[in-house]
Amino acid sequence: MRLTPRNRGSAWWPRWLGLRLAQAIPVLLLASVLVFGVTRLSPGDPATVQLGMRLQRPGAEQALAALRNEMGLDKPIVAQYGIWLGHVARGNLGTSARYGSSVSSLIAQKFPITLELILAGIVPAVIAATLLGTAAAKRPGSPLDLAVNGFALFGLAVPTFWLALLLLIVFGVDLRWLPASGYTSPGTSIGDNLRHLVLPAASLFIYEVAILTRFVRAKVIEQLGEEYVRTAIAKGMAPRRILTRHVMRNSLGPLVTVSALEFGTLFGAIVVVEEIFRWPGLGLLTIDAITDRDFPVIEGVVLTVAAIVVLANLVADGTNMMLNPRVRDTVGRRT
Amino acid sequence: MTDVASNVRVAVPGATTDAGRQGSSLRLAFADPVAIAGLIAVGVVLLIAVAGPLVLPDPNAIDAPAALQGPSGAHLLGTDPFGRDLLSRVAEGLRTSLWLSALSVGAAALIGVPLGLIAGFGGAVTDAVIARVLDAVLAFPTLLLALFVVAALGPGVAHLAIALALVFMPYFARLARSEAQELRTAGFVEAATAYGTPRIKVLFSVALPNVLPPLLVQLSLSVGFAILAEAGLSFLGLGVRPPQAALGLMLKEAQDYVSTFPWYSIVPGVAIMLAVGSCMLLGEGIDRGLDPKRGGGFRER
Amino acid sequence: MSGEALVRVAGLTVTARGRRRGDDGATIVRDVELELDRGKTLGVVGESGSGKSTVALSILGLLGPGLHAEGSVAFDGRELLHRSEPELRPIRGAEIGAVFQNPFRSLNPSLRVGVQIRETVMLDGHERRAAEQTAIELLGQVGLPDPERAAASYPHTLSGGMQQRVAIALSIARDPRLLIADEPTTALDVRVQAQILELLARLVRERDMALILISHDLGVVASVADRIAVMYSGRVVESGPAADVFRSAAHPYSHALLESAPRLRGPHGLAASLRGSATPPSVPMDGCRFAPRCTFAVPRCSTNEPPLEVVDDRGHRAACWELPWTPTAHGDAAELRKSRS
Repeated sequence: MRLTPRNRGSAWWPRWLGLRLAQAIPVLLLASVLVFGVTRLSPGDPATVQLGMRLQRPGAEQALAALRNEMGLDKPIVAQYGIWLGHVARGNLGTSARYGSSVSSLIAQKFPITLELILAGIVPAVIAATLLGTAAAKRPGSPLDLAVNGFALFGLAVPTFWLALLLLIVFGVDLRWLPASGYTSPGTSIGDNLRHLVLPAASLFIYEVAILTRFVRAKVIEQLGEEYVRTAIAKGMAPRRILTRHVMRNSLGPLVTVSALEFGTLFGAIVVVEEIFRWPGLGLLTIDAITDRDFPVIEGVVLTVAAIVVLANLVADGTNMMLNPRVRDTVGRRT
Repeated sequence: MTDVASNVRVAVPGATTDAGRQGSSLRLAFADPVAIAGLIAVGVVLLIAVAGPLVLPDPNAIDAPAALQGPSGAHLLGTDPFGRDLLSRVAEGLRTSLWLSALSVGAAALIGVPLGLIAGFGGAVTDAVIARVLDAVLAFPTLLLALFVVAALGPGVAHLAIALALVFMPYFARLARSEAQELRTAGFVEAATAYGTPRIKVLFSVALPNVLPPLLVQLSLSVGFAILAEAGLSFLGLGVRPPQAALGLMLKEAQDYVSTFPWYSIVPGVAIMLAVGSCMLLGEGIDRGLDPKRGGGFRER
Repeated sequence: MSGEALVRVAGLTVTARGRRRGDDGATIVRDVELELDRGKTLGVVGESGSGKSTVALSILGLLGPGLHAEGSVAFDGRELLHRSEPELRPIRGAEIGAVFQNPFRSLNPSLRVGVQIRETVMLDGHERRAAEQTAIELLGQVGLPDPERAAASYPHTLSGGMQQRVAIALSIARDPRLLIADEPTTALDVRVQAQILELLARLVRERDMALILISHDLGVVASVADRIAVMYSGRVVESGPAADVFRSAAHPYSHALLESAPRLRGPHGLAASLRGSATPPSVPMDGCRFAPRCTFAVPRCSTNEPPLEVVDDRGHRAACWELPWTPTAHGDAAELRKSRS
């Protein structure tokens, strides 16, 4: 865009950021209350729950006493929450019962591995969904549209873990085109890393393509009904340009928002996918932690993911603001 | 197709009114061919789940020599590693899945809808507090939160139901909240309030019927997602425990036979897909019927 | 009228496809005849639902997918109806421009105004820089006080009147010979309405452009139109030179419209003479569609539909069985009129 605005006015983002943080911080606090509360629902003494399998080790008695003291179990529950939150805020998510190392370092180590998988699933899905959804929306009710809709419904209804299992059977076991499970770090071999990535990422991809295609289709159909499209036709623009220049421009912001939501949702889906393909990220860490009743790890992962989701939504909202001048100018008037 | 109807509506201003949205909306919803297809599909799945156990062999009858067989006259969908009839087990699993999902989603709606209505009709503070609580629950990916709750409470059907109810609740609350916010300023609600009808009564007598149609859509979609979540959790060993039959559990067992007997992985998966797909088809159909504008093309106005 | 007409609409009938097969579908516009010479202005007047916008969209080939048009729409001797989209594209914008009712919704909310006009100018193959210059000039021509600033603005930052000026700039950006303005002032303040009408009249004059001005408000059309067509329930019930239609409305409905146009007749509008509401064009009925509301209806009016018949030799035509219908021929109305003059 060459036409530069002369009326730059005051920047919109400080006000926006302030408003969004004012919402995000209470949400995070409430989420932490939920995590704390649910953990406390676990039967048994909270310190015992935290120690888990470490109770079997020598010296567990002292450790238990020390932990009870540290968690403030003799104090009221609110104070206990305060102590816990204080630790969390300083990045202290406790110690893994199984690994003996700090939960935050475990998460920091596993997070990039999971992020690679999620991005490999969602980024191609966003691109494919944009193409498929737009193509379907151009002619609602056409054979192509019906095919896209049918495929999308299939992708929504098919359980991700079953799909993962099928992919594993077909491509990993029968055809042996790709490794059935495991992980190689990109530092060791990028090719090997990518080969291991294909099947788990494809499992996430198919589900996401379904969701996002449906969204793009609905959005584009909605935008095609807008009057500015009629104006564009009336001025003699070619349909292809109307789609790319006008319709896509107005659909992009909402697509970013939904993609960010889906990015968050995938942190749930990876649990099963990582378990099936033995992809050693946060999901596998969580499953193993549940098996071992390694509560500090479960708590840490759940809390971290919630923070990531809130952050992702914040970033998406900001992007949306940049793409949509009308919404941007009403910052503050919305609640 | 619905787009024709929408064009007729818009092209003839004054010829039709919006009055139809209230009363006949439900009838309209079920008139959509997609909704009818969804109803039929849900009906078939229900039939298998309910009538299956009456006519099919005992899902727990072990017949070791007949283990791991493909479809045959004796076992229409083959057998599992213990020689149990797969079709019977699928029917049993569907039954478990369906009632568990329906129960959890029902509970989610029963808590979520009133919460949302209170938020939407209440003052700014009430609304802000409830909204933030919902956002907080929504900050957790559905499956991860359910997993976490079950992990904390311990595995089992009851805990699974609680977890699912919790994760689906915000969707209902959000829906009811936005409907309530829209209705709050609607003429007939203001009128009812002006006549001195107690707020709470207005809330439930006036608002609830309006929330009903979109609620039906949300219900069918949520049951579909709940079946998926239940299967996922059972697959991870956190939901239904053996020997009770559950589709996710069957897939978990099937994992050990992916190379020797892949058929075992296919049957329960297809069953899940059909159950979830029919719920979503129904939800989509009702949605289309409710909003005839969703036809696409270029509208005139 | 001569055979040189720029636009000649004949026998235009638009139906909405039935929901089921075998359903004939609802009629929205029936047998519309319109004619417009180069550089002239045609006003199309009617209540909402009378089908006037549908006629406009038929000319532009912009009917929705559920609507089907039959008859003939000739533009500069070329038939436009049933043309394919690619065949219509060179005509849209370049030869026929369009302005719609809601200026804000007609503009893309996320593109700067200047960009939207620039891309329109560039459709004619102009280079980017030149097109940008043209865009700013156009914004000046439509009366925006600071064209450069306006070009850099997003639509939502402009007032309704400014937005409509931008929409008009957009519609004339490719220098069309015909402009179709569908209720261009309805969404605006009364004061702004007059300015926009003035602007349209000026552009028509300066650019020797023909204009089809569609409005529910006879007062809006009166000041600009050379010819007028009055539509009722999907039919043209009267058409002719503006002066004639105003001076001696030949159809009772036109007469009632004139009586109820506040700016033409003063504030004591004759709502009384237009009781009830118009029958939607989709509802089938025998006879004159205005008969149920007509004070002067005779039995024949409710059994046979009157054709559009010549009233005089200046091209004034009307569809009424009681032609030559004049208020003086009917007692009540005659007195009414006397008390006015």
